[in-house]
Amino acid sequence: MSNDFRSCSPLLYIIVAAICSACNYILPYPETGGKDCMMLEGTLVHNGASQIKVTRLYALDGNSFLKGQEGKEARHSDLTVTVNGKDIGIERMEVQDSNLFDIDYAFLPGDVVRVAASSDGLEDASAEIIIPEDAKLSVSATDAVWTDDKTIKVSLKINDASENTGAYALKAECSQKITTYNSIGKVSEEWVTHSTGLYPGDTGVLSYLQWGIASAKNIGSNKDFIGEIYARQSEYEADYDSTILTHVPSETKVRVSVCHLSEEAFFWYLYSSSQGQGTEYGISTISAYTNISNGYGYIGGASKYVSDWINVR
Amino acid sequence: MRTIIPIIALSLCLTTAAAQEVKRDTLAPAVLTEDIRKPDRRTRTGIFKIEGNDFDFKAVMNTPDLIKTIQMIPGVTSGNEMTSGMIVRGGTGRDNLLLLDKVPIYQPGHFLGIFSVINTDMIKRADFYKGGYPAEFGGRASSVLDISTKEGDMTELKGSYSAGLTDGRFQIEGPMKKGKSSYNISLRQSWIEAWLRPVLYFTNTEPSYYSNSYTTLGNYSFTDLNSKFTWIISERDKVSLNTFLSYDFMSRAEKFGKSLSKDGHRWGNATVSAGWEHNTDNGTGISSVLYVSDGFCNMFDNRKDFSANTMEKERAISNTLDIGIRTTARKTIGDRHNIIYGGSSSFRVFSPYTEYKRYELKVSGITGNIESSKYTQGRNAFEAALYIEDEICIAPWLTAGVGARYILYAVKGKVYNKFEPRAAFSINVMESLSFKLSYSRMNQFEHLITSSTTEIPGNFWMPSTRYTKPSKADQIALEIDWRPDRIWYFNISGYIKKMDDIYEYVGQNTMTPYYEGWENRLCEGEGLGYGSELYAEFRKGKWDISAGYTLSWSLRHFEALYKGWFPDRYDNRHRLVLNAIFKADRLIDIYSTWTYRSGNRWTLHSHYYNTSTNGDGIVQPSSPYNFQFPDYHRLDLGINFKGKTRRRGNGYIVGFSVYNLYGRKNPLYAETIKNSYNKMEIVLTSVFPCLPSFRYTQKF
Repeated sequence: MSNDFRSCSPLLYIIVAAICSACNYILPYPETGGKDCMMLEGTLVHNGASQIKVTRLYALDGNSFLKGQEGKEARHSDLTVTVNGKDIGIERMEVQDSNLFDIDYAFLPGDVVRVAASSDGLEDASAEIIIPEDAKLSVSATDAVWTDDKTIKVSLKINDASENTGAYALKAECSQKITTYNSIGKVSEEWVTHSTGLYPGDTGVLSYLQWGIASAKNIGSNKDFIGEIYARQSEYEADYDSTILTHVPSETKVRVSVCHLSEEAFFWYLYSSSQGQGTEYGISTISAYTNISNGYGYIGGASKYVSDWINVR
Repeated sequence: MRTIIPIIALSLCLTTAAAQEVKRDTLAPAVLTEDIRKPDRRTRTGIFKIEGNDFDFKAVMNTPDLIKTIQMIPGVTSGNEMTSGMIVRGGTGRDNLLLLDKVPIYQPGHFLGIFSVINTDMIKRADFYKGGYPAEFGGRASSVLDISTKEGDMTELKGSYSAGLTDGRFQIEGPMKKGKSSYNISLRQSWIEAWLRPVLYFTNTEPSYYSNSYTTLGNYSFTDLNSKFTWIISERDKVSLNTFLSYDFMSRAEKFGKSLSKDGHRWGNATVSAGWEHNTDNGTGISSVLYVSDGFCNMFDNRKDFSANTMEKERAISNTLDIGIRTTARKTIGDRHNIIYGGSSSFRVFSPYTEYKRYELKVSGITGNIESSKYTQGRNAFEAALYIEDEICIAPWLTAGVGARYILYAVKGKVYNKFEPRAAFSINVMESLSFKLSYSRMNQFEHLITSSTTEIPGNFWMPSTRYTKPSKADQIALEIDWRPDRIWYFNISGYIKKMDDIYEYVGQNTMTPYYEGWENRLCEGEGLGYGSELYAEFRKGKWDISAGYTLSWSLRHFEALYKGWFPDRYDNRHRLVLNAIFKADRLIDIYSTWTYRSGNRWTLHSHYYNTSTNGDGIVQPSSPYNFQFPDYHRLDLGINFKGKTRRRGNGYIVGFSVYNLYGRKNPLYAETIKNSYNKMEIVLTSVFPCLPSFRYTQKF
């Protein structure tokens, strides 16, 4: 509903425009003389697999053409990762627009990780981070109830006993035991898991951090979070073209993942969550965060905690 | 609105009755009687006092406006054009305390802030502090605007009415019991909708291919209602009852076939306060006020489907409720000490979002409530403050003002204790020349959560919490005040202001901020403002000319946004306001204002990347606010014709004015687009072209 209301706000501007006969005029894009460079993106997860993406960024100024750059992607970039000064091997997985590097390494808290990238015709870019301390989390879910036929509310108390600073991300996963019947009888029984965000409707970040919602400061410096998260069950539709008729959920359970993010990862989350949307009507994207030298993007760190499954009443 | 109509009717009856009895010259009060700029002869720096009749020559579109008048003062800028924003000495625009009879107001603007909610008919005096704050005030980091409303005339009935292009005003005052009690009631009502509705009707109706036409209608109006009732209880006691209601209504209706949807906003302020002034035997003046202030916003969304007999109603309410009391005592000891002390406390309820849903199905005339729900979240806060200040005359040439303010601010899970020192010194070199130096600290415990730079009803106030700290501003100001004769006046000041723990919303770029997880979408930073201001005034004969120039820097540092310091959006390096009033004769005044400032800033992307799907992907700015709009300037010109009505001899003013006379296209906002050659361009939009207007005012 809140989104519906927000859509009403532009009416204010429509009114102003109607009254005042808004007029536009065009300025050429300034010629900044900027250079092409690399963008590095990656969160190095302490207890999980990590990836780093390397992309070529094109300078944008009055002389730039937004097309015709095909073939100039940073296809042949190299990436070097050192941990406490020691080179580690990485696996390269090339894609069309960027280079994706798999990093299968068990980073330890406190590791000083330096990432350096090079590419033909571009200045070398690099970043250095410290893998954040493990979150010493104790998660207790005091309740897990249905709020409607699709939404489960889980009341949580999370405590981090470590000295961590930075931010946290949370997500909930809902798993349901689905029994499928056809006209003859029971066909199958399986657990289906569905991930969702911290609260209904806030799913925009999922695609970015890949695994969860960054809800950092809810767990603050004193490491206590008491709040609620929401999970949503998967939706099924009967497949009338086959003999399958019904899907009956019998049991539901949820679990919570909490991720301690380094400051770099959280700042990049803030940056990315404010990108790619409207910049009109006085709304101006202002975040220009990066921790990459001679380039853009971020290299961040994270550690992850996953709770046990909690049965839903 | 139901309460307004009887009051209007009553007021009209009283007016008519009074008009039949009284015939007199009422022209005089319409004349500007005081300077807009009055230097405080004591220690304080950065104070401006504005009297009730100062607005006639500062009106924008012939609508007198207190905030627009303040925006002409050096060190203050409006931010966006036409709005009621006040960016004071490098502040954020969300850090200004607006007090109406000592009651805080949370929604200061109508209609995107184009009109401020303060009806100038009711203003007795307004003290604006941009530095050197008295210890009595606190709670905002950048400025205090302390507005006192007029008491009604204790002896005779009088008033005024006024009609302009956008709104009409009516004010009436008089005795309830002669010499003992009085009332003063003022109403302002917009009639923008009278010409807005037909415009929208014709521009937004589209025929459909399926015989159902699609129509969008819009509606907007605002109302201000002030009242002040005063009783003189004894020679030493006076009590007053003040009410204030500002109310905006905006709606949109969409009709398609047999379905109708209507959504919109209602927002504003409602305050009630009771004041008591008492003078003790030993000469101490005590003033107390007990108040309730509510800043509200009600968003609604109703959908009807006549074919299915269904109706959905959704409503969301945002509220800031403030219940408080404050008492201030003033005492002069001998001829050296002027002491002010007192305390205040308030309880505040912040409810950014309370949602109600209702779904009805009507079958055979019977309405069944199928679904109804309520969802709410909010925070409460308690604030208590004690303050004391002494202005000491150390020597005939040296005066010192020393004070302090202690604040306790409590929210769930956190209690803040803050101490704010205030100090000021004035060295009077000669009768006409003084040097002043001041230091002050201000803490701001509430934060306006806003994702755009415009005053829109979706913004909401929230308190400091465990994770969102109070903002703090330390300011040092130096001022030279020189009035060589009765014609010339000069004021030169310099300041440096450091702000800590200020917040910027960096959530998703929506017009209104998300209330869910609002703390997660704020990033913490610091700000720095410094500069110098020059004000000069020439007043001789028929001419009244003033010039205000500001040279300023406004910088920000947010670690989450950028590694280094960057300029603020309103880092307007130069700002110049020239004001000239020519009183041609007793019946004609001509006034003109030329405003110039360096352009606002905007963030322009410096890089992009190709993707396989759409050719160009998300782009990256090199630094925040790295692009400056073209310089802003405009010329406003107005003329007032004054006269007396033939029948009753009432004074009237017919005013004509032109806003932005030479039609300068000052950009309000910008967008980037890709042109047909696949090159980027910047599209600047200006929405306030040359706007003529008029207003008729009559006093009785």
